[in-house]
Amino acid sequence: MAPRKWIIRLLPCLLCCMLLLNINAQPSSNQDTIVTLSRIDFDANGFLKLYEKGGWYFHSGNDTRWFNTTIDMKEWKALLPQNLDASYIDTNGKMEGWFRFKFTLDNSLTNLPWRLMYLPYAAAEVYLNEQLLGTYGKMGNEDESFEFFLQIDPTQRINLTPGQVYTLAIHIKDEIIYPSRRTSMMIAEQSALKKSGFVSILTDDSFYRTLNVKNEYIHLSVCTTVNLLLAFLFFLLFFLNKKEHNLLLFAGVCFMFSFLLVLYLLNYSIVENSIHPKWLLFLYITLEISAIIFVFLMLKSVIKIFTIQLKGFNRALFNGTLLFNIINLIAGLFHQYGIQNEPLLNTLNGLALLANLAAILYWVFISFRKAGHSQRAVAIGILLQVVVLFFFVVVLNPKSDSLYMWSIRTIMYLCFPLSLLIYVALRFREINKNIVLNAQQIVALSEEKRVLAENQQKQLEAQVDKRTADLKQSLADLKSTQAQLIQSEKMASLGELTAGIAHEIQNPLNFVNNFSEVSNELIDEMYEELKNGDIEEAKAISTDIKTNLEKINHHGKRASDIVKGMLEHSRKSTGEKVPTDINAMCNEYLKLAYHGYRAKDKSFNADFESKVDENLPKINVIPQDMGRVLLNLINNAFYVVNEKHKLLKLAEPKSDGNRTDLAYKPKVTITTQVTNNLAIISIKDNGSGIPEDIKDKIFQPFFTTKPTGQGTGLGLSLSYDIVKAHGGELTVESYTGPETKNKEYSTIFTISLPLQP
Amino acid sequence: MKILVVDDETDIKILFEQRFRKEIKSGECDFSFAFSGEEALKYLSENDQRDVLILSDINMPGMSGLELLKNVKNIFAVPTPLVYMITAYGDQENYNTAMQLGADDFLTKPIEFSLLKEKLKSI
Repeated sequence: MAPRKWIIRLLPCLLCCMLLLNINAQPSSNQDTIVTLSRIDFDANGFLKLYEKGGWYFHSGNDTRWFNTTIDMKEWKALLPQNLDASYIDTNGKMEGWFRFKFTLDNSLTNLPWRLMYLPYAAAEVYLNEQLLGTYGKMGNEDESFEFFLQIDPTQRINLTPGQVYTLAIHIKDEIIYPSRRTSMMIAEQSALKKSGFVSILTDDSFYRTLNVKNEYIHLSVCTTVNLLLAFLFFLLFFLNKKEHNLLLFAGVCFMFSFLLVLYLLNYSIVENSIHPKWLLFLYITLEISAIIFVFLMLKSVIKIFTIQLKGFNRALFNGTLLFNIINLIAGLFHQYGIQNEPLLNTLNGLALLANLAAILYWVFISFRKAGHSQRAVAIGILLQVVVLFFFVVVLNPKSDSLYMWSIRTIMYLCFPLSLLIYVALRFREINKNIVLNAQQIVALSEEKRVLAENQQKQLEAQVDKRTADLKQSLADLKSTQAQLIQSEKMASLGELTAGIAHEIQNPLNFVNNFSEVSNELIDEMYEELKNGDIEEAKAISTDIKTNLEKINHHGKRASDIVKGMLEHSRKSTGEKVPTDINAMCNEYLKLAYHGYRAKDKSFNADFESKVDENLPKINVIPQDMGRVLLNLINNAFYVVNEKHKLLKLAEPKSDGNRTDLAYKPKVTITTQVTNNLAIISIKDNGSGIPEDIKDKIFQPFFTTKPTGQGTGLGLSLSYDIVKAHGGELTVESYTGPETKNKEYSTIFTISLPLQP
Repeated sequence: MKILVVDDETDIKILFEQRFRKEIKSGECDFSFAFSGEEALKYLSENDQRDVLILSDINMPGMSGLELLKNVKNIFAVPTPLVYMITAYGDQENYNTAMQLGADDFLTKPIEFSLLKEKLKSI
């Protein structure tokens, strides 16, 4: 809404009405009418517009006496300066004549300094009480050429005394009258500014300010400041919340409003100071264009606020309204520049204003029912503004200069911008509400998600627990399987031993039996000898018996040791390290393994040799474990030499027992020695050797070259682990060719154990 | 009668000496002992004795009893010494091998000395 513009637009209409009233009140006497001027005759701008007073008389032509205070008024015609029209132009296209105006001041205007201001285009000479106050333009007398008066130029200060009658006589002359333009230009003013000027009396600055301007300046300043602040506020809000495009629109509305007000303020300062008309024109155009922009922004704001769909009728209304405003602007420009038609202009002004009002009120009306709080605030702001406007314009005198009136005007001017502020505030409350709502939803949602995530985590944890339990079970199963495997490996090697052990036990038992039998016989014999009295013989027999008993004892112990060894082997490892005679252990297991093989395979025969280092001290080992390692390595050695033997035997054509012809002598050698604080135990066989490609794998669990079912593939792996557990090393060397007379295939497994682990 | 006993168990010597105490005393039997196949062969080649009986164990480290048997039967001229094989494993395979190689008898451990004496008497 553009109250500011309405004022501008409405002023002409209002003034017209008043002038009509004045004209009707005009007296038709032959004498000058004396008009009494009072303080209330000053307008808001500090002008006392004489031309509005109905005391003017006009006479065409020129007479030098007509400036006298007292003249015959018979030929004079009562005529307001505004009503001077083309009918007064003579046949030469020139116009010349005199205006007269008699006035006096009442006591309310005591001791005031005055300036007289003349504004029209025609050249003029102004007289006050027969004194020439000023010449405006050039009258074209004698040798000087005619010239228009084009400036605003108040006279020097004059002092007027209340009660005294003053006669104002103005001689006007217009020599260059273009048929329509000049005349109309002179006769009717373009703007309120010029209209106020034709012949005015204005007071000195101090009085002017105290009397009038103060109120309006305050009003305009307040409005301008508030609007600027609002514009700034809206722009900042927009800057902070770029999604709210309305804010930018509001900022524009408020800014344009304040800009218009500034321009309006400028009008006053221009009135007070002289300015070239082209600047006035520029100012005017700026004002008009700003007003159009303002109207456009305002319409847009209303449309945005009330979410009007710009379709069909609404679109037509919007376009039509804008069109009216633009036509108004163009008409105004034409008017300014020459083509003058006051009624048409006023009509256009009114139409534009009505269109604006109608469009806005229509949109407010159709939206009011469904409008929210914020929109209703704006609607109320608009309605309030309209109501106050009409109240101000129609009911009250727009020229009233009281502070009270200006306060109402200020409020009116600020209704709409402030309603925008309220709208924004309420809108932000709505936005906040939405944000809070959204936030609550998000919180609820995230809570849901959290619960979901928690559940999932719980499920996951449960799954993990289950899997872990499964894995633990699997691990336990594996461990027990491994233990079983180890046990079965142990039993397998024991099985291989059984026959050997049986043989080993059988031999001493045979001796025990035989020696005891013989001893029995010897005792019988000894008895016989004693009976016969052959003491010497009996003594010899007793010595033999003693020897036999020692032998029985020896072989009994031997058998007992073997059984002990066997039990030890099969017993679960105690894990206790005890000082052990490695040499004895080597010999024992070598024999056991050999006999084991012999018992199993009758055709088996292999040489074995034990080269032990007698300096080897007892070493702290777990005997069961280390025995297993030795047995395993020795068994393997016998196995490979036997395999090789069998292979060669098969390859030989005459395999009918002609075994001695074979060059190959299977042999297993076990060696112990002490080096660098290490006990080195080597088990050497002259089997086929270990090919390079499987050398790396032999210590891996379940790796075996034996036919399926014959080897667990755990022997070497376990051996390796056991030796490692003793802080030692188990290594292998193998010679796989070429085979010569001096060097045959061989494999050496070497256990190195620290002497003091 | 000269008898060579081959066994890796050294105590076999004492046992035989006591078991055949009377026979040794009476000069009926003359026992020699070898504790490996190799030793036996060496003994045989050094003491050229034709009328000899060899009692040999089969399971011995190094040269086994069967190899000894084969050597004896191969090396020495006919009539070769009598060879009685003694083994703890009285199984058919060993028996067959021994017989194939020309063993004169086959005894199982533990030795039945009364039976052995009978056999010796029958020679």
